[in-house]
Amino acid sequence: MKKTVILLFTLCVTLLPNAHAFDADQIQIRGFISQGYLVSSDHDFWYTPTEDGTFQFNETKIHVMAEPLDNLRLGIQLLSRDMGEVGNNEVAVDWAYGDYSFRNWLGIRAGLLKRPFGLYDQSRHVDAARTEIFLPTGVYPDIARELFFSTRGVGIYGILPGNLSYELQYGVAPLDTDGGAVKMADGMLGSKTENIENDYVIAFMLRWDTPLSGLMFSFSGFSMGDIVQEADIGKINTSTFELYISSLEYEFENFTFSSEYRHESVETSLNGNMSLMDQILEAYHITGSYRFTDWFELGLGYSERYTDQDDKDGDRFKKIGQPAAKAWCKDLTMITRFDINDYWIFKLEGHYMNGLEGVTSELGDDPSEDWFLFAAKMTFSF
Amino acid sequence: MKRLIVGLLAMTAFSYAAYADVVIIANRNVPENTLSRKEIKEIFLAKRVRWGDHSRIHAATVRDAGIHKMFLKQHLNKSHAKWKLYWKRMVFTGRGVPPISFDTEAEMLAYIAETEGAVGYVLSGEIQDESEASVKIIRIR
Repeated sequence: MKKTVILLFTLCVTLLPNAHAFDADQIQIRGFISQGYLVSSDHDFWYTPTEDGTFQFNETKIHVMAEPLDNLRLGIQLLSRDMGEVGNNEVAVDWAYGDYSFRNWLGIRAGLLKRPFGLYDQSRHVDAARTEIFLPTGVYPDIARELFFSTRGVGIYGILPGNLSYELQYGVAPLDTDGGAVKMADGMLGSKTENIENDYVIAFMLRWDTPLSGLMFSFSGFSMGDIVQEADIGKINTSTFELYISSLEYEFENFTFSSEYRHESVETSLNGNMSLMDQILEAYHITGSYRFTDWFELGLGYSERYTDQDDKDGDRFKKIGQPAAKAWCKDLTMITRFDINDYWIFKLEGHYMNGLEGVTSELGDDPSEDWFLFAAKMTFSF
Repeated sequence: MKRLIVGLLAMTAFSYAAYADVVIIANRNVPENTLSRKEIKEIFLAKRVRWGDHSRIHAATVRDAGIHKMFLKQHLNKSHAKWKLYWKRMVFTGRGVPPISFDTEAEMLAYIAETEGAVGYVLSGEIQDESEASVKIIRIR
């Protein structure tokens, strides 16, 4: 993998003098390399050794896009990513699809598609495309991205009268046993998953750009058919996995404000007769940012996430002798972004955390509920 | 005295830059003669990709920061930084290709004149006589 990164970096440096990609009307080649550093005062977060400080936090993407016909766009993006135990810089296809646009109100895409999910999920691993290093952690946990991120199938999209736009998708989620979802399930159950598949996923997004310029609302979500894990302890079946997000964003010149609420239902059983999980996860965030100059942006965010909306105090965990704080994660974030030039970006971010949801290291007898996570990241894009 | 005159001239130039209108121009074969502000925004953000006769829209911009920033402020209500952020998001999610960008207004004018479906912008004083121009001015409705 090191060779791939070196090769991509060499490509970037070679292209730098001419870095607008290739002929805009023909073939586009674009990409970026991000390298981050994470360190926390206590605990490891999201399967990453943050307590000791780690550089296992990077993303590299490169894509080729072509428009062979006026109506048709084809493209593929490769992704290499590392976040502690997840990703490990294996090269994977991030998205790959054909996009045929019939009318303003109807376009069709087929292939491996980015799933519409909240305001920002589609740009989750595109550091240059957002202010934060981490999207609001409550609403966009990074731990099991494959459940949320992509759909292998078909989709339609377009704009409608009344300032509405929409997107619908149908297909399957490209799950695999190396992903964070399996890691999380195996971690909780002490199992080893050998295979994972899902029946289908239906995803949608409806967006309304209000008459007040810059103010928009959207409602998005998806429902997945059975997710079946074949593990050494038996068949783990997630019969319900539904997720909905209501979003609001207001953007006026250099100011952006957003808020989102996430509602997620999960029902999982073992061998069809033993309930492992039947709960509703709930999260929200409020985030604001202001671009002071061309090169400096400052943001502040707050998010809360609860693993069970009926047990926000963590009684369920207390009953089994675990810290109640595993039931929630509250995150107050200070964000800074420095655009050094059109190609280089540097970000610093501090998270004051309360709660242990998302903590993946062993918890001692009296784990600290309050802790701090610091993140730094440098990105080169072309 | 000299400084005062230079200062006044600079202020005049600044006022011109601050208040000059940016007009939308298009290829003469584009079917529309008027567009709403919402439609202009949709076009330059690649949400609207077809003209009324379903032909393809080819949006163009100028790299010159001054006029481009004026265009963004007057027609898209976006800062340059937000514009770049938007297009990074679109590009790396494979959802769109940014408008073709030119170093000078003259290059963009030539492109719009030659390319069916092309649309862009210039400062209002750039086109004196529309009947003789190689492009047409799109009125805002």
